[in-house]
Amino acid sequence: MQLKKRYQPGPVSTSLALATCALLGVPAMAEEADKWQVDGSMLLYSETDRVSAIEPVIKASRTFKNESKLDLKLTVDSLTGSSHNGAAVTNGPQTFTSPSGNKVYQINAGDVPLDDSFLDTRVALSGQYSWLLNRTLRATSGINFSNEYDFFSVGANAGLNWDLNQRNTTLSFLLGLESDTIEPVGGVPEALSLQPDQLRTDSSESRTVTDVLLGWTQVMNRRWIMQLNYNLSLASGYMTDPYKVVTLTDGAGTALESESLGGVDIGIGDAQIFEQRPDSRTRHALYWENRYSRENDDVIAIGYRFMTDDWGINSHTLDMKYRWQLDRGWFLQPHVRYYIQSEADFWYESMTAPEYTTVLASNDYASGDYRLGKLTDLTVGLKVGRELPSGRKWDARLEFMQQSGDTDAADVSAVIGQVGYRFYW
Amino acid sequence: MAGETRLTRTSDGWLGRFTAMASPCEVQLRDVSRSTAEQVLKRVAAEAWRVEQRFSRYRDDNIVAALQRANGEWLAVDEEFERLLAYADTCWQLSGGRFDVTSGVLRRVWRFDGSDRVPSADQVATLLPLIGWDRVERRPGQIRLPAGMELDLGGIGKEYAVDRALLLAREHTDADLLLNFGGDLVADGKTPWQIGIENLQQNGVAGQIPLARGAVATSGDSRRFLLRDGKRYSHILDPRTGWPVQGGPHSVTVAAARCTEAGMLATLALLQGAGAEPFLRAQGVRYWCLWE
Amino acid sequence: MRVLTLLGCLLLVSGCQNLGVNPWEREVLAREAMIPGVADGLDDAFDDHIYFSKEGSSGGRGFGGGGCGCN
Repeated sequence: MQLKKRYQPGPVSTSLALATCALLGVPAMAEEADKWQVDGSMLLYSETDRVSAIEPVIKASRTFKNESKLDLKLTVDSLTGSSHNGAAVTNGPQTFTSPSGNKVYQINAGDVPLDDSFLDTRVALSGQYSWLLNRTLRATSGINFSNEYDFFSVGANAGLNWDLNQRNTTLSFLLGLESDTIEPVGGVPEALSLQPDQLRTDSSESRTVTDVLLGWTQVMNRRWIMQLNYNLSLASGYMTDPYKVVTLTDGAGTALESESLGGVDIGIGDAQIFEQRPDSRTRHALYWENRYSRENDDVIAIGYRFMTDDWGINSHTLDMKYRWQLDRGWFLQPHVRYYIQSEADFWYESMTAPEYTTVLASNDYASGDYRLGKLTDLTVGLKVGRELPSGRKWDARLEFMQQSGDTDAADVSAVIGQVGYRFYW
Repeated sequence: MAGETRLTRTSDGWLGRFTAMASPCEVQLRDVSRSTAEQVLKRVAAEAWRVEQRFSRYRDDNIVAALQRANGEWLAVDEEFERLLAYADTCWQLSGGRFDVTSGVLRRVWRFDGSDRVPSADQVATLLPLIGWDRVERRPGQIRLPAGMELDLGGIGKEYAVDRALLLAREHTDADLLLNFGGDLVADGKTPWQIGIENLQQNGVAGQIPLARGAVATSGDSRRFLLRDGKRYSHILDPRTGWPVQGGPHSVTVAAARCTEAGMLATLALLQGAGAEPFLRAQGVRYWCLWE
Repeated sequence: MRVLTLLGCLLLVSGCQNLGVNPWEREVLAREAMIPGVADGLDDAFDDHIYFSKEGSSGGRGFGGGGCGCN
């Protein structure tokens, strides 16, 4: 498919070039060794009738003469719009308080309850440094920060990559620790209490997440590389979403009244209880990726992830990309992603009064967040880009995502747009 | 091992000269002070002499000589030698066995002095059991040559020295550089150097190409051959048969990113004999062949 | 049980001595489009963030980029 350009290296000269670099002990990409590689990109995300986000990112990487590497990344993430607040779709109107508790809003019968005052800007910074311990062992470590008005996260990671079998096999071990502090607007609500009562306790909560990743990357043959990762994630602390509620209904699709359960009256259908999630979560994920290059330089990439946790959620993700290599550095990459998840043990579309009494009595868990319910996602997209001489490149992608689940709240369509540019400085 | 270096001024910089590996060697720099030019010249010359001392087959005090005396025993080798052996192995594989660093023993019967003294089939056949890279055994940090075999790194040594010297010179300066060890050269800088290519003939005069970054190496020698009964025997020997390669050019010059690479491509092309030009075309490199 | 799994993995890895290529045959694998984690590096990071906030799963590919309050 490609026209043979002048001086396009042949198999022997390419192999010889690599062998010569090995002989002289220089990295093969010596051309770019003295410069910063800068990647600038911007994500535009827009759901129909819900959340929109704009996220510019700038990343700078540099490989030093001793083959150590530094990566720095700055992310700004700005969200607006409305998102599902966890309540059920009912036959009649419902009334909620805003996240801060200062205002009250109503939604119509049959509508998906969305919380409108969703405005957030997040700034995140991360740095990662890796260096060689010896010819086959590479160490890596990094730190990251993320800050938004109600959430702060700080984390660190460290790991080792071990090359075996003439670098055909690489074993990785990574350890990550993250500490999050949540300061909900209006204070932390008392779990399972009625929303109209506005019972708020401490002004902040926290949680820690420990991640362990064991990875195995294997060169299968000249054109095929495979990676298998096992990820164990242990989270403990405050996992509840302080802005989400579960609707109490009569079991026939009509929301109950808060005052009938001894709570404050703020309007019709106001029996909404703040959710409660367990204070620990253990997740196991197995990720398998294959990359295969065809004779004409096209690349097929297939990734599959299986995840299971102790909240009862199991999920399967299948991610496929085909990179269609064209002349003069152009490429097209269609992309399909399919995702399916089962619901959490404590997921409720809505709850009846007797169920509420039981859950309250045993201080059990309950959430109406559609993201913990049964979910099926399908994303289809296309990326186009061009690799220019001197290593620069640009790309743009457009994708459509459709989410659906057991409830109307899970019916989300989104458009994803992204542009990126890489240069050397 | 040391020798003399001479530094003279040029219109835009400095020219340093010395002799190494039986060749006149030059270092050219632009826009540097005299002291920097001297530093670079000394460093480059030191490296050329170091490589020559370590890997020349004409000496009796280096690892190559020790291997000859080892008589079939395992010998310890250092990291640099191991990398050269790995490189020799790569080239042996890539050439399908035509490039073989154990083929040096053939010079015991082949002397290319323009005469008609071609060895007999028996003489050549006796040496064949002593040739074969696949007979060499390697372990990490060690090598074993069967008794009677020897290693000849002459096909890699000079070009390797050029590339090594450039890396070391770069520790002293960022200026435009041109290193030329008897025709095997590397240039590194912003403004091009004018390089004379022996095989690029224009009206009987060596042609020139501009080269800012890259290397040029020549393999083969139009002056070394044997002539008997009207048949010309080129000095490029096929280690698999012990006899000269037929039908190929007398010398090949190749331009590539590094000197070691350029030199090896030129050598591999010559070993293809009549297939030299198709081979070079397939590799997508600039080359010049001399057929006369 | 865990010891058995670790042992199994080590046997698998040592059995992979026959898989792979020589160092000079890596020109195809050296392309950025063939390196897991680098090929679509920024895309992956964006996607991981999007799907982390829209779904109940995360992880598998690696980590280190900062949490967010979205899940």
